[in-house]
Amino acid sequence: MKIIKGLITVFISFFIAGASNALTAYEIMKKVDERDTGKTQISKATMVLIDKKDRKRVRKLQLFSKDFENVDKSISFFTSPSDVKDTAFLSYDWEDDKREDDSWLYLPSMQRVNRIASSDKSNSWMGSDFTFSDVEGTELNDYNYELLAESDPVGGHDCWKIQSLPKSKDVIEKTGYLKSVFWVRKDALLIVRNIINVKKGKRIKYFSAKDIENINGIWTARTIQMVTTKNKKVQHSSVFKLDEVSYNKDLKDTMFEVETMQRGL
Amino acid sequence: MTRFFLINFLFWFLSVSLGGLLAQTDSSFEDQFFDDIEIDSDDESFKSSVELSKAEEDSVSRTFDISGSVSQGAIVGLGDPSDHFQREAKGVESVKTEIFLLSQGKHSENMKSKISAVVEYEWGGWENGSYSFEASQKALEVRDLFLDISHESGVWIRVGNQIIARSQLDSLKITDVVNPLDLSTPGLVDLKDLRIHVPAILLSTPLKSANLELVVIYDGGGNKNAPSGSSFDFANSILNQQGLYSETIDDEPQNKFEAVGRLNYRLNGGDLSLTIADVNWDSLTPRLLEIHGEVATIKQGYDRVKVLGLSGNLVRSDYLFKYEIALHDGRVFQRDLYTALPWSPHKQIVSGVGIEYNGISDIVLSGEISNTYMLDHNDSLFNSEFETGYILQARWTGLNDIVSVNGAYSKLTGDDSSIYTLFFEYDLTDNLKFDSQIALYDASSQNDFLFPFKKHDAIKGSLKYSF
Repeated sequence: MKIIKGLITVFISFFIAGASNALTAYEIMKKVDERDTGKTQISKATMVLIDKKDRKRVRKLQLFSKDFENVDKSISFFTSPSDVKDTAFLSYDWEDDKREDDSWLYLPSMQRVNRIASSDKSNSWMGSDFTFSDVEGTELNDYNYELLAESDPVGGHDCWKIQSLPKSKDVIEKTGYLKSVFWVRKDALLIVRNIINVKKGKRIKYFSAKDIENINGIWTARTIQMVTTKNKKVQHSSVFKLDEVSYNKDLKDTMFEVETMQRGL
Repeated sequence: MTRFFLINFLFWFLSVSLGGLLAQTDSSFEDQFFDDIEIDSDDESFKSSVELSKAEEDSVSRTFDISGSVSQGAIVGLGDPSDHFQREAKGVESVKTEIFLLSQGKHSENMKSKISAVVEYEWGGWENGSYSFEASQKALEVRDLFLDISHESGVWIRVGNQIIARSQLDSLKITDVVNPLDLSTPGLVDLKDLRIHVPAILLSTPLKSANLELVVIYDGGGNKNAPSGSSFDFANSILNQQGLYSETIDDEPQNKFEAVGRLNYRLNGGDLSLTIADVNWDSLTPRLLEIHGEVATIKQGYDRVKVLGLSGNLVRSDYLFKYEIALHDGRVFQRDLYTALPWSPHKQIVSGVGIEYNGISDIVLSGEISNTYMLDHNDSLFNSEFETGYILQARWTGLNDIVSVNGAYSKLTGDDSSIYTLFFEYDLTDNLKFDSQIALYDASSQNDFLFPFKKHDAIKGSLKYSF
């Protein structure tokens, strides 16, 4: 099971009223992990990449995902700018942890689908500050959790403050992350802030989820951002904004095939 | 005792209060990284209502857009080729402007079309020992021109001019036999321009746990070779050594129809494809040589080749393993001399394996080895019974994908020719991109394929504006 189901679900959460006060950090994270994110998600999004000189690059994309019996499948298409238009990324995230995830990338310039060796999730996802591990998710049981504060409000909403540490060096190698401290909003079981210590370059990344709405009973952060810093100075940042989103719409199984990438949207 | 207590208390107070103050300062400092990042939000597209109405969904399913690019590029030769070539000294090889236009239409949920074309304007050519703007050329090339029809069952038909790229390996053509290649400037052709579009019908359909692809090609043509007399005109380089100037005439293939069938399996951790094909081989071979005075006319023809192949990949941790193997039946091969006709028909087993390592952040290292084994080999043939070649590559992508550098070393299959290439790309803005590429050619023996071109080292640069 994935603790963070990735950008396609964009940190959405099932509303649980009056969540228990006596939960351990692990139990909280298990609830976050098990939240209902809808059987299918369809969204249109804008990703803005901003460098330290405040130069912006804007990418538009469409995202589709569907939960199958033992696998979560997702496919994303870049729709602009023109030089990355039709670039597509397909991913199968198997529930059985022993099975490696399957990923393919379609590059329109080559008109060819390439399979991707997916073990190293620490690389940047499409040039953003989000990594493949942010997008595809991480395993709940790969981490030790500690409840740092029972109550630490963010934006007027009561939150748990939790620290997670990877259980093994292998997990650090895979994700590139040494430590995370995050705030989980109690009413929404939604991670709204995260401070991440990155192994490479001793950088610190700051994640935040904003514009949180309850859509069809599913809590949805319509804006998420990740700021990468080094020596307390911003190196690069990325803003991912949901322009449109819908849940539980009918999506054909054939949408999540390699041929769909070749065919395009 | 009291004094000791006071000092201790003071120290404790300072450490606690200052520690708290410092922690507070650090926390406040960090808060700035959670502040809203100002972006130019498109209020129109950022809809407050997230549920699309039926009318909106219908409008989304019908779209039409136009995109394209304008690029200005130049190639400069770094060496002094022999006087067998138009450019016999260092200098500008090419100054080219390229306008690319692409239009995509989605006519309904199940029907799409795509058309793209490129206009190339070569500002001059090499004449009388220098690059002259008198010898300009222009060309229009239609690339994509197809209609896509799909069905909810997963059946998909694409009809028209298209690229069907299915290779695992880059070093040798093994099972990816649909599209001819642009070999006019080895090592300097953009990868996106490497394959040449062909008129074809592609039928793709799910078949139990697999996917079946059937391709019928009509008059697909052959590889694009260098124009006669230009830097990479292979036949010219051979015949010039005999004091002749060459002209080549391409014969029509006896059968303009070609067919390719592929059965693709997508498995957990790897893909597998079986290929069967009956195609006109894209690399034309000489059939007839006529010499009139100093002019040698070579008639070239297509070999009709049957292909039976297996290809696929396997992912293990940070490693991606790739493989292709095929039997090619119907190709002809050079005897001792290029001009000793007819060439000799032989079956050939062609194979290759590759490995790609993604375990270093932002870096991809890869290597491929390819082999050919000729059946019924005899000593009169120019090619050896068993030949091998390889490619080593390293690619780095940095600064959030703004810059990428790719270095490659290719040792050609069959002889000791090799090409070193270094490619650099930098995104100046979302729309403006600069790239540069250098290609260095090496060959030690006169029999090596690239020996006539060993002084053709060149550097290429281009600036592209996309819209």
